[in-house]
Amino acid sequence: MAKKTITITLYMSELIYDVQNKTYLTGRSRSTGNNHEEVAHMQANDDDENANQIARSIGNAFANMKTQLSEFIQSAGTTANNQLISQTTNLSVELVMPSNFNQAVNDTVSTAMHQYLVNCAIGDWFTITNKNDAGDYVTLAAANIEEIRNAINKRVRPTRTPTVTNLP
Amino acid sequence: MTDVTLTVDKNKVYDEVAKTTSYTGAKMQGDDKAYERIFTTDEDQQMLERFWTEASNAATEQFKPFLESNLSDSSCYKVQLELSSSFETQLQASIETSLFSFFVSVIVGKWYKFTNKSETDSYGKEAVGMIEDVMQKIYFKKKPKRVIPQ
Repeated sequence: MAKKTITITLYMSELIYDVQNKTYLTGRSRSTGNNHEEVAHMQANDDDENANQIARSIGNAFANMKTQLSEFIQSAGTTANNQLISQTTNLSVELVMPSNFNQAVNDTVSTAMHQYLVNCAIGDWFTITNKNDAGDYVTLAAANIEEIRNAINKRVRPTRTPTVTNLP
Repeated sequence: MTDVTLTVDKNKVYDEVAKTTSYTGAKMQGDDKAYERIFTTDEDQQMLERFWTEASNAATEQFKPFLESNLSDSSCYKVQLELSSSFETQLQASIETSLFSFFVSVIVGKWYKFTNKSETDSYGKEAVGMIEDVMQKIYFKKKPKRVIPQ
């Protein structure tokens, strides 16, 4: 039976915005009125040192996610490097799935992948800027990878095709 | 990053210090020599100059993480800061106003150590409040904006 190729695209702008928005909201809600410096450090933005750290974390998480899904990924590449991923290039992964893969979970896979990358990036970011909340995001990321696994293991039920027999 | 230049005019600060000290001296009851003692005059300039320098140094210390250049001269305090790209530029005027008040409070507070001890602390606290206000605005970040993928 032919395999199904599922292409998942993760927009960098959406990943970065989600990280920035969650860290912004966290900083705002942790404000006590006189911890402005601490709050500002929690809130990731487009400044080079912030953006590079976030891009590095997203890149690391994406690589780790591909390792977790390696049995479904085919790659002909023979080289690799550690260059920081671009903040303007979208991430794409092609999953080569069995023919009975349930495509109804495509959105679940892409959503869980998005959440995994975002939670890993925030976990890393808060390890530097807000240790108290870092653990929560690491836990969320671990749950997300399980969701991805669950989703890609969904299969459609086999259907019996009745055979037409010629009666004598 | 956002480049911001903050300027405080020294003469305007001295005028404000003169107004504050004159008003305090004139309103003080039961002390006939208060006005003469508290009001800063041109003869007190040398002392005020030292207070101005101390206030400038204190402000620069706060701005250190963002300081690009210090362009201060004999007529003003002027620093160029490299602030976050999320800095709210609408706050610049308000920051300058608070910084101006910081200079006035520091100078008046230090002057009162000699001439009106009972009010020294309140000006000291006011100066701390003013510089905190400045730093709060400097550290404030605008909310991130979503760019819809094409």
